[in-house]
Amino acid sequence: MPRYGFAIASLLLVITYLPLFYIESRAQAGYDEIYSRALAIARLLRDMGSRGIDVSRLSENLSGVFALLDTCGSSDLECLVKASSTLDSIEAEAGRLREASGFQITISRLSLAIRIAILSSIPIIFYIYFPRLYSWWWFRSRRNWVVRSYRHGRG
Amino acid sequence: MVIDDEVFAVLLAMVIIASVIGIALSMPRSSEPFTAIGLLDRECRIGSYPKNIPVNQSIELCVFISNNLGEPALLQARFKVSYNGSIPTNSTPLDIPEAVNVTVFLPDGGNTTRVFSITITRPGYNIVIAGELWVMDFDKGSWAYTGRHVFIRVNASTILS
Repeated sequence: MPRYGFAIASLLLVITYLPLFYIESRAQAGYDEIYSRALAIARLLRDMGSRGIDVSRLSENLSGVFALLDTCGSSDLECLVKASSTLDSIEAEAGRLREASGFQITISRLSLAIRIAILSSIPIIFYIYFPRLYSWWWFRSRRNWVVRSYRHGRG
Repeated sequence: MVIDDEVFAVLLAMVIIASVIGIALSMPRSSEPFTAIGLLDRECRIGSYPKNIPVNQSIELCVFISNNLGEPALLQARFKVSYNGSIPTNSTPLDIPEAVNVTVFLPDGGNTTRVFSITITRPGYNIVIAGELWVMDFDKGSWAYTGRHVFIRVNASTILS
């Protein structure tokens, strides 16, 4: 009887702790998966920011996710769920931002090119038109002048 | 010619210089990239750092992290407790496990402050609480030490009841 009692007790212990071990390993796997996702999204935002897209708001949200992951650890399932849902919203927002910003980036590059073209052409325009403009103004300002002719020194 | 040649040449030179300056100011410039880490007190201000702290009782400090790398970056401040008084250098981090990690993702030019708690588990004198700044190298997929670090020295003692 004691032999069977020991076997039954051992079996009960295994049955009790096996689900906990399973939950712990699943939670750790969940933590690793969420951390990897966060890193991938960080890389995406880095690439978007490098191209000139304003990712400051999304950066703040992503920092919040990393703060959660730093503090809550792998066993806090509620924390992991919150982190995961925040990552979902960041990913969706990043996708929308990327689509909307393509046109804005083109416009900003075009405006920069136009600005440089205008600044480059100012010296050329000045060289060609300033003498003409100045001459026009010079003659216009003296159009009421009377030319007095002198004949051999007499007025 | 109505306008004097020399006067016109001077005016043209001034216009060319102004145009070149305007183009130079319009061009997007990238300054020298850098990151920064600072250690502040619990109210995120300079000064009022703890000097004598009890063992096994957490103390609150604040870390300031700044990103000026020219692009958004994932930065991590790793706080380590060195009981033998050793400190990190600009090229070598401390070879001990970190007690606290503070991870932030900052846009270019962004900075943040975060309050964190750290606990000294053994009594001693001139114990170093060091913060090292690491940056995620996405191409290699691993953290890289930036060389930026801060530290304070504290004394820890057990509370005698």
